[in-house]
Amino acid sequence: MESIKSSDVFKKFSGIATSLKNSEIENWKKQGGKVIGYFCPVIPEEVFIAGGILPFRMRGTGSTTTDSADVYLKQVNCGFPRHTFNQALIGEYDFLDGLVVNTCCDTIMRLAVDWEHAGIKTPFIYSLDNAHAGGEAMVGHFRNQLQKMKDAVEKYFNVEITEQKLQDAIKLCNETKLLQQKLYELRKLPNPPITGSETVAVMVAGSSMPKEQYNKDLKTLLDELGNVNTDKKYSARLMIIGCGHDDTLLCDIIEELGAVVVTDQTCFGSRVMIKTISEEGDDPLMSIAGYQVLDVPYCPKTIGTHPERKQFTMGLAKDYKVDGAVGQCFISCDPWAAELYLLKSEFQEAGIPFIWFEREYIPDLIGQLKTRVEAFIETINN
Amino acid sequence: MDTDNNKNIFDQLNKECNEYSKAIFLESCVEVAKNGEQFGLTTEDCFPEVHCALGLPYYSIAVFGGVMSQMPQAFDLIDKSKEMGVGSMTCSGPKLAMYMVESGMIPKPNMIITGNQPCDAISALGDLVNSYKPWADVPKFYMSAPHDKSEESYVFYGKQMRAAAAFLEDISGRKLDMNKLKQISEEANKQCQLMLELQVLKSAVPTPIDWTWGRSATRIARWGSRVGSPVVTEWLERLVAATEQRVKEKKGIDGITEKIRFMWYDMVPTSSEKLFSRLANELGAVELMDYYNWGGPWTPIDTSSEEAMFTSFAKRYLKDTPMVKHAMGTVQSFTDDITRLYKELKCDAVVLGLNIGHKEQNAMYRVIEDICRERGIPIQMIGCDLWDERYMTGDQIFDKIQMFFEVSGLIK
Repeated sequence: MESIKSSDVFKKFSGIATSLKNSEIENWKKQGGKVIGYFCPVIPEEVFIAGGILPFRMRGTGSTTTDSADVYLKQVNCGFPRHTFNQALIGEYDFLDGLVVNTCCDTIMRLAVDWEHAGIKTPFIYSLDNAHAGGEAMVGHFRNQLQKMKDAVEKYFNVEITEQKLQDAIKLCNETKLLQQKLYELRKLPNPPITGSETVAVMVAGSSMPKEQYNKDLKTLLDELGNVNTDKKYSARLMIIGCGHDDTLLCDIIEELGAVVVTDQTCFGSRVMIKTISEEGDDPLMSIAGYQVLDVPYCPKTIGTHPERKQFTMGLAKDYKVDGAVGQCFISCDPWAAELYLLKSEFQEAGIPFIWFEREYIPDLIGQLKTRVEAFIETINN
Repeated sequence: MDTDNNKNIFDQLNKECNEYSKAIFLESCVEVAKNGEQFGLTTEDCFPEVHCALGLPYYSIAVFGGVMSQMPQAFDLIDKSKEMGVGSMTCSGPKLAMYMVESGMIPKPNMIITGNQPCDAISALGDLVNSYKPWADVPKFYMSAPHDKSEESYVFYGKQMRAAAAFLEDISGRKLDMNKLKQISEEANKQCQLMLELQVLKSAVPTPIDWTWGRSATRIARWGSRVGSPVVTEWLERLVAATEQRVKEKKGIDGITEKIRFMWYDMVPTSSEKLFSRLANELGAVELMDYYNWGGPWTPIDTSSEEAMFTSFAKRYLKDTPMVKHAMGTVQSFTDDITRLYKELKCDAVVLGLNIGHKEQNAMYRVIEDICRERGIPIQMIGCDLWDERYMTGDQIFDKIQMFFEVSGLIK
C-alpha cells in the first residue's frame, strides 16, 4: 500500500473528521440513541458512555463564517467557540440531545448561556466546573463536580449510571487510548507510515463516533499500516504544540513542504491518550478525577502545572526524535499564548528549534503561515 | 458643620488616603525589598486580612500593572509588553504586569501565591510569574478558585486559603495569631459595613460625593496592609459622617448640577479622571458605581471559629469581590447586580466598559443587553481597552456615552 489514504477505514475516519454529521451518528440516532456534545477533554466521555449516550466532541468543522455567532460573541473572543457556536446556530448541531460546557476558558464557559439564550433546541445543557490547579486537594473537589454532572445526566436522560457501567466505560475508553498509543508508536519510526495530517483525522474521528466501532476500525487501520510503504524520506521531523487542533491545516502546510509531523501536544491529539485511567479501585469517578487532575495536568489553564507540561512536551520531543516544534494557538487564547511564550525559550535552551504563532480557527492568511513554516524548515535543514 | 469645614474634612481625608494607599504601589514594594524586609507577591489578593494579621507586606502584581497603566511611561511599557510576544489579544493590564515581571521591574519576593482567578489573563500572568527564572527558587503556592457557587465550594476554597496561610506562615516564619486575625476580621467587618453605608448615602439625589471616594475607600479598606486597621475604620467613619452631612444639606458634588446618574459597570478606564469629570461638567452626568467604587454588601466574616473565618474569606472573595464574582459567576449574578444597583442608586443608565481583554463579558454581551432591556434598564456597551487609551480615547468614550444619553432621552 503506497499510502494509508487508499484505505477504506482511513477514508471513513477522514470523512468523519471533516464533517459534523456522519453515518455512525445517523445510525445511532435511528436506533433511538442519544448524543451529548462536550467541549473539552476534561469533561469525561466515560460518564456519558456509561449512561448509554454517545459523546461527541464539539468543533467548528465546516464553518466558513461567524455571522450568526457574532450577535452573541464579540470578535475578541476566540474563533473556535465562535465558529462552533455558529454551526449550532445554523442547525448543524441539531443531532445533539445534550451539551456539556466547562470552565476551560473564559469564552467557552459562557456558551451554555448563549446557547440557551439563542434558543438552540438542545434540551439538556450542563456547565461543569473543572479543577484549575493540580495536586491531591483538587481531586476530591473535581470528583464531587463530576458526581453532580452524573446525577444531572441520570435525571434528565432517565438512565442509571452504575459503578459497573462506569468501570466498563473506562475500560472501553482505555482500549481506545491504548490503540491510539500504538498508532503514535508507529510515528516514532524513521519513516512513519502515517503522516501528521492523517493522524489528526484518525484522532478527531475518535471523539465523533461510537467507541466500540471506532476501536474495531482502528484495529483494522493499525493492521493496514503495517503494509504501508515507508520508503518516503522527509526533510524534517516536527511536532505540533497547542490548543484544540481539530483540522489538518498546519500539518498539511508542513507536510506539503516535505517535512512530517511525528507527534503533538494538543487536546485532540496526544493529550487525550497518553495515559489511561486506573481500572482499579471502587470509585470510578475518583479514578477519572485523579486521571484528569494528577495524571494529565496538561492544559495551560491549570495553574502551577507548567513544569509538568514542559516535561511532558519535552519528553515527546525526545521520544519522537523531533527536529523542531511548531506551536500554534488561536487568537485570543490567553492560556496557550502564555504557554507557548514560555515553551519557546525552553525549547531553544534544549537546542530544539521552535516557532509559534497565533492563527484564526478558520485561517485567512494561509500564505503567510506557509512562508513562516517554510523558513522554519529551511532553518532546521541548514 | 459649615461648608468650609466640610471641605477641609474631605481635603484631610484625601491627604490621609493618598498616604495610606502607597502601601499597594510598586514604590512601596521596592522600598520594602531595599530594606531587606520579607514580602510576598500574588496575582490576585484574595485574603488581605491574613497578610495583615501576619504583618507581612503583600503586593498584587495585577494591581502593579493597573497602576502602571496610568503612569506617563505607560504607552511605552504597553508597547514593550506587546513586543514580548505573549498573546496579541491578552488583556493589556495583565500583559503590562507580565512585562513588569519579565523586565525585572519588580523585586524578587520571598513567596508567591498564584491562582486561576479571576480570568484567563491573570491565570496566564501567574504561569509567567511561576516560570520566571530569576524567581525559580522562590516558594510558590497555587490556588484553584471554583466557579461553582455552592456552600461546598466555599468550604473547599476556604480550606485552600487556610493552606495558603499555612504556606505563608511556613515561609515567613511568622505564626498566624488567630486572635489577631479575629480582631482584624471584626474590624474589617465594620469597614465593609461603613463602605455599604457610604454607598447608601451616595444614592441620595443629588449624590453627595464624586466617584473617587468609593475608590479611595476600596484602596485602603480592601487592598493593602491596612485592611482591618482601626485607622482605616476611623477614616471611613469620618468619610461617612462628612458625606451624611452633605446629604442632610442636600448638597451635590461641588460645582456640578446633577442631571444624569449612571454606573460604569467594570473597572474604570485609565482615562476615567478626565472622562468622568468631563461627563459631570459638560452633561451633568455623575458616575455612581464601578468595580473600584463598590460598596458591597460584603459577607460578614464569621469569627466564631478558624474554619468559619476562612470559609467567610472564601465567600467574601468569590461572591462579593465584583471582578471575581462577575468574571467567574453566572450571567444571572451579573445582571442581578446591575438591576439591584440601578434601583438602589437611582440610576438613569448603565455603561458597560466591555474591556476588549474581558473575554467572559464579551462572550455574554448580548445576553446582558437583552436582560437589561427586558428589565427596562438603558445600557450601552463601550468596547474599550481599559488600560490602553490609544485603543479608544477618553474623548471617544465620551462621545459614545453622550450619544447613548441622547438616544435614551436623558439629554433633553
